[in-house]
Amino acid sequence: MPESGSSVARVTSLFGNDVLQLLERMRINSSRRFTNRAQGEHLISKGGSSNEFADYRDYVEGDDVRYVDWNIFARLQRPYMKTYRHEEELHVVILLDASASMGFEGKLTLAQQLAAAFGIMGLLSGERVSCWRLNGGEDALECLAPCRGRGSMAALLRFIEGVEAHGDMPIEMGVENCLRQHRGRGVAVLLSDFLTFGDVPRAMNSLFSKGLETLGLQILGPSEREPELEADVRLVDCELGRTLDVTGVGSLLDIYHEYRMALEAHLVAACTGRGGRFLSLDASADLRWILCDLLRRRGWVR
Amino acid sequence: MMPFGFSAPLAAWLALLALPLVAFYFLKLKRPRVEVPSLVLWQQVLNDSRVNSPFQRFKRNLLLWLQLLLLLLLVVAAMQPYLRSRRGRRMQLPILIDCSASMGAREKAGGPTRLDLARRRAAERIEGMLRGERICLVAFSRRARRITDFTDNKRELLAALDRITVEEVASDLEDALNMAQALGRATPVEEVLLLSDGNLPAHSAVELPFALTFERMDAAGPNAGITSLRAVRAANNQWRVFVGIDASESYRGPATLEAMLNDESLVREVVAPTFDNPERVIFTVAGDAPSRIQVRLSVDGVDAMASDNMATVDLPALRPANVYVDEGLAACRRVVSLMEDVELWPGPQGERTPGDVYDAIVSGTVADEEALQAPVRLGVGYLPTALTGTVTRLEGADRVVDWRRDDSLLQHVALGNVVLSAGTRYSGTDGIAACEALGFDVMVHGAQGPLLVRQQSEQASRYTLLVDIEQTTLPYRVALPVMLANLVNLSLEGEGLAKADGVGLLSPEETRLVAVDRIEFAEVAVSAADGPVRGTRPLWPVVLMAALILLLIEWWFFHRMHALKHREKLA
Repeated sequence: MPESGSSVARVTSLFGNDVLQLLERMRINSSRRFTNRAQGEHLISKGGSSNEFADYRDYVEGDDVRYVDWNIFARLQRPYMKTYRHEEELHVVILLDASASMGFEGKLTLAQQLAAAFGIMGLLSGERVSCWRLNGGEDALECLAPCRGRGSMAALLRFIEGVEAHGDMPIEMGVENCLRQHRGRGVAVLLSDFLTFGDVPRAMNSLFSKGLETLGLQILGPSEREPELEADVRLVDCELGRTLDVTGVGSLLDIYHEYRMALEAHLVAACTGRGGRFLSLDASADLRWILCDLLRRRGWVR
Repeated sequence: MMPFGFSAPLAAWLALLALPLVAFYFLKLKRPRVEVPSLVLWQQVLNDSRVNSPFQRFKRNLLLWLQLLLLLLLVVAAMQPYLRSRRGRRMQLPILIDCSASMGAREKAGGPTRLDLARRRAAERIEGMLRGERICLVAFSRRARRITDFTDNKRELLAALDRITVEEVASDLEDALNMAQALGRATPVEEVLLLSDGNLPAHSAVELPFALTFERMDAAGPNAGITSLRAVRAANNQWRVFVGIDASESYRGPATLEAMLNDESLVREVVAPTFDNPERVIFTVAGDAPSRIQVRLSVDGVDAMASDNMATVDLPALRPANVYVDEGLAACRRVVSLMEDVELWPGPQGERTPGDVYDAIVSGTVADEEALQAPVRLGVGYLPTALTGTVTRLEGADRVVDWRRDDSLLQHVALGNVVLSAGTRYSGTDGIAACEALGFDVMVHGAQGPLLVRQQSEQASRYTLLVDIEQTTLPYRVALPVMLANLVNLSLEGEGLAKADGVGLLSPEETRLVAVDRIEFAEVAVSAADGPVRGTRPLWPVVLMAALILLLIEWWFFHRMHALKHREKLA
């Protein structure tokens, strides 16, 4: 975790103040126009009333003549309408998988950092931000109510810092439960390892139908990417307690890698097929590199 | 018939150990528990058809399969598998090992002798003995002797094998085969293994009641040696010495023969014997005093056998033979008086030797038999007292029907043209048998009775001519001087004064290293095998070795490979 200056108190235990400073200059780059009609700060397509010019179009009867470009009319003797971009509200929904499987090898830590980063970006850009913790058991679903503005940052950070890994809720069920209560269109940042027996594309469909662009971030630990197992072992599922006897693990690693890559490809297809985006991250990856390099290059943030 | 079999098939029950092995294998799998975030990917991996393919299943349980294979090999080894020979398995096998002089031949200087090779072949058979098989070792040269009983004690057999040494005599295969037959009477014997260099007679009258496997050792190198050394009394009180040198078929080149008389060189001669033309060296030695002749052959180059390069003969001092001839036997006295190195008694003045002891006596009366002492006697013209009831003298013509030409007295004696005006007749019908019962051998047969008889005792040989010599034409025939010369020689031979044979000699066949590749027996012919005839060969050492290799592979696979992987990861 990057350290901020020693003389300045850290705002959050998730990352240093330097990362916070970076986040203040970053915005979520939504590629879809899933916005709320409420006036917001998030510019979307033309047809709005903001000061930011969007395009020209032919005049049709009934149009507000205030938006006719008279200079063009003087030159061409034909009326053209100037259109401006909307400034509408974008709802940033952060879905943080906090089941027991995320407690391995710093997966939850990175997920928390990224959740906080996306939340801070949303808050600082005037979007509505809500955060959902997906666990299992009695407190299976806990939500930070939609909030807005810099003043909500402390609550957001507090909420995310309090997340602990436990429970056995599959990600797709968590998403379904969340969407039953959620209202608003925007971006859904889905942070999970996506290691579930359930139907993840169905959850993606639900997100899409709710008007949420899915930004899927798969976080896998080093042992999940490169298992260091040998001979005969009994694998125990940390969530379900199920066991699986595997003989001669060493000879199966190639097939394991094939299936891992296939899962990743499957998730990429499920996301992109529904207008979303997907990234698979290593839990040991550097947060600054993810934010400043990887996500920028992929166009997730700007 | 399967090309292999098992000596202990009951050991196959040990294969049941596979059950506890499999049970323990799965029970012992106290697999280390590894907690993982999710089993999603692993479950998919295990459901993959490739993982569940037979080969993958095999790979996943490779350790179990290796252990089962190891157990299988151990069980097979315990069953004592063997490879059948062409002849099948022999439970009792006598091995006849030729240890005659030619078995001491070598192919090159310092190389193994033929006996060493035979020992190796026998040791291979002994080492390859299976359970229930027994071997009996018989060594044979001039005589066969059993070295061990039928036994399966390998240590005893190998120790007995080491005790067999080369004997400087020729071999007698028939004696060995007779012994094998005798062994077969007590124990059923189906096959006999003969290990020899092939220096054996090509024909044998033995009827083989068993199969004979003849393994011939590889041919030895070139050889030359002394095969005969004989000294014969010659004129002028001298010994004439004959030395024979033979050579094997591959021998080429000269050799040097040196004769030493009382350790002083007497004769030195270069000889070049070949297989077809043996060399003969003759020289004389004075017989005035006792002497020892040692003959030594020095061969240039390779000589397969050293034992036939030296021979010795001891020569006594020569003296004239004292021969007593009855003064009434004028013809005989005349003949004896003309012989060289013979003193005729009684002398002209009737002199006699002290004690009346002579080398030979020719007497004309029964009374002389008691009065005179000599190892060889010839009585002429009377009937021995013991034969008076068995043989009767007849007046009238008789003739010589037959005579024993192989007798020392009658060698080179021709009696066919001797005319007799008197003869004898058997008194009874069983004449010859009656004579033999009285201790007389009939040497010359007349028409009706014996003409010359011999009475042999330890002290003397007594010949008696039953008809008067004057009643025959014998004095006019050459037969008489030949017969009397034989008589004198016979007396001298008894004293060792006629001839002397060398010692330390091998037979020419041994020196010539003649090797037959086929022996004709009474009913069958046995050919020599080109190489070692494979008996039943035990396979358990091979199986056990395979098990050991498998164990090493297993060890390497499960330890070394993992260590390498770990090292690679660290790197």
